[in-house]
Amino acid sequence: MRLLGIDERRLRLKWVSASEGALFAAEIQSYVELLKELGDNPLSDAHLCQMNPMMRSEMQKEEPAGA
Amino acid sequence: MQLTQHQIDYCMECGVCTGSCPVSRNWSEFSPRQIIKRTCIENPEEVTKRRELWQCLSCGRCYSRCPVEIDFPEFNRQQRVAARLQGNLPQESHHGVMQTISLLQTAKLTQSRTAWARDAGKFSDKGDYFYFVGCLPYFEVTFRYLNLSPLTSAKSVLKILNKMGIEPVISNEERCCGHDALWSGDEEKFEKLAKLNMEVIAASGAKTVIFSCPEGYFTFKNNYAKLFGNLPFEVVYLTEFLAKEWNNANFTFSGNGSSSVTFHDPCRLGRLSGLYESPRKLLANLPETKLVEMERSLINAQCCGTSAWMECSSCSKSTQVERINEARDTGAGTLITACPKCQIHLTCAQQGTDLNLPVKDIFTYLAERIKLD
Repeated sequence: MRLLGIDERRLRLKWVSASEGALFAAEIQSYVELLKELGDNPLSDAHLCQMNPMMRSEMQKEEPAGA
Repeated sequence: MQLTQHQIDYCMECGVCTGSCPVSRNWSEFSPRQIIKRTCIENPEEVTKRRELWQCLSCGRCYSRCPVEIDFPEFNRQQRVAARLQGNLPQESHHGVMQTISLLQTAKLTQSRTAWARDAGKFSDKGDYFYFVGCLPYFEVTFRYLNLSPLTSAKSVLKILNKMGIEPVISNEERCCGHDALWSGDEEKFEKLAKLNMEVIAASGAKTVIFSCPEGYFTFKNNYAKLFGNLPFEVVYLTEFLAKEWNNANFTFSGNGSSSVTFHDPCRLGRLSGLYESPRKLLANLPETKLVEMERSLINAQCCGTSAWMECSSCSKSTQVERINEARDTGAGTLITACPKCQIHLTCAQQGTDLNLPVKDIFTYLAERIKLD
């Protein structure tokens, strides 16, 4: 991620037990705040999804189910 | 690619391609001649449905020997474009990580890919020379498990260029050259990457782009030129550049005792670009280094067994082991190549075997012998 120039803080791994609801909420809240601060994801271009053959075939699979 | 009637007529009688093919040698079902024959008689959709069109290594040995000059690698590449549209996709090696990395580089982002160069030497943002580093920073993290350091090659290149008084442009904006996307039939990705690279080079003001990877060199020289017409800069492979400038550079050398080495011609450099002499000339210029040739070298050189990070198979492995044994038979202590992928493949094939032949890239070898301080 560092090589590609993607802010490493965009990836977060945290273990939260089912009994730790408050911790979960705090974690998500701070993550959302951080993501807002970091701005748009540089990889959010729609063309990336269209170009990835695996994602493309997944999208095609989903279509008939929705229709 | 449309074959002429003359080519088709001759093709049916021959089969030198299949006899020359390193894949057919290990897997007799695979036959370039049969593929051409089927293309002539079968429905095109049936042909592009087949898995076998992903097996070709595009090493070009068939093409170099074909009496009617059928460019089978290019012929097959075009079928891959159609196959991809039908959903016939290659099996990607390393869980597709290299394909993903190049895909992400089509987005608008500024990479952080020049960190290695800060400690290694001097470089700039603008100038006459652009050093196209290629995938090396990404190989560095991906192939750590092979105890290889592909960036050592890039550092060596920078040190040698600095020694010659050149401070090349190295850019965080450089993208994958698109070679693998192109040979996987993904022309859309290739064109996006190519356009971005052309912008980056234009912004640097470079008149000469120097490559230490034969794939990048070949792709710019041929496929970029096809896409953009005459390129507004010169495309040079570093061994050619060094061989030309050697006498002006006044290099002095440090000895490491006499050593004998053998040289593996990468397909994109040798057969497909016709550059055989310059790497040999550089090695011959080094005192105390003796170059011994493998049985199959120059135009007959054997491919390193895998192409475009896909379809790595037992066929790849036996091709690679065959090549390592051929190098060992020369008695050389080191196998030298000029392509980072050849180095990775030929090193990988030795894992978990009793083979232990160091595979080095030519620029690292040169930098070890030239006095750089």
